[in-house]
Amino acid sequence: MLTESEKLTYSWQLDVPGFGESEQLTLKNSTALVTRVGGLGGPVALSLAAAGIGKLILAHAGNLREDDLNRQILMSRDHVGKSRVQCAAQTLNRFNSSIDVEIFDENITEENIDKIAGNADIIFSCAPLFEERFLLNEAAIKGGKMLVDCAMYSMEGQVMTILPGITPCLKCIYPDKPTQWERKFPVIGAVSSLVAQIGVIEGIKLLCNFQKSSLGKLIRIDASSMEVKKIELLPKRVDCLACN
Amino acid sequence: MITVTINYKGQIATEVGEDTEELSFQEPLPLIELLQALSAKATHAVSDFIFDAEGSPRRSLLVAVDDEQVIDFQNTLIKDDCVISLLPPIAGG
Repeated sequence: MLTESEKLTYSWQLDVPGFGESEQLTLKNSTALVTRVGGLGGPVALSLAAAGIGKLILAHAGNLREDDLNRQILMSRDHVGKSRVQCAAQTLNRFNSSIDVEIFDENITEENIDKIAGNADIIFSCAPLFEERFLLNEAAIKGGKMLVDCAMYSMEGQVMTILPGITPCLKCIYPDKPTQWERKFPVIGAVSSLVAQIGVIEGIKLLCNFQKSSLGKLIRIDASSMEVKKIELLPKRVDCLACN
Repeated sequence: MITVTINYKGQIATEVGEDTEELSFQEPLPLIELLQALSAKATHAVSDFIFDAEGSPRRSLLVAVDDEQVIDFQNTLIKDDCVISLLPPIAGG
């Protein structure tokens, strides 16, 4: 049941056609893993907190640097030198004190992924390295968890929602490890936030079985032309090493 | 004569310096031949996103024709007005 306070807090979104108390309760009873909490994951976590997700698990190693500040909106200048994930949790707890936030000051690895992702109902993959994204993809498939893969580069972004066993996965579209991706990429914070919001909307639709999700499609966002397109993906690859 | 549009995305667009280009060919052609023609006129950096050192199409490059993913480059025929999008993998977070 929603409390009277929760009904008031979320009253404006409870007016959205198709999104009622049952869907709000689903969000309240859900746990989302967001990794990492930088330019993309930060606004993902913030919008999930605003929407009333019950629990957030955040994973991101390291301390905030000054050159993170153009996009990592859960942190501020006085956080430079401090643990990113601790700062993110403080901001989120101030923003919505009714949600639980569990933090891991580490990035996803083969060794820690079961511990970090094990209790999540949905994973928002926002890591800047394919090694982490593929680990999250495999964990989602192994655990039967929903996965929203959000990525950006310069003025572009993309969101792919993955339902294990039903949709193609990240390895289906990138069967070989991408070798040309560079760790440092051009980014305006507003673009990563834009991509993040689309990812959160897709995640809420998936979690709450609300409206029509974009399963089996790659949502492509072009902030230069302000176009959003969907690429129709092929079904799961029969030779996919992750799906099979 | 056919004319097609190539959409360059991600790091390929950065390397090319443009995000779109129109190309003309004498007649419809298989996608693999179009990619080979693109590669032949491109810089090494751009070509390297499309083909590996052995000349095989990279499986980490997502190719879409008219907004539909294609993996059968040999048997996909490119016709007049087709829009081919080259989407290298991105992972900015």
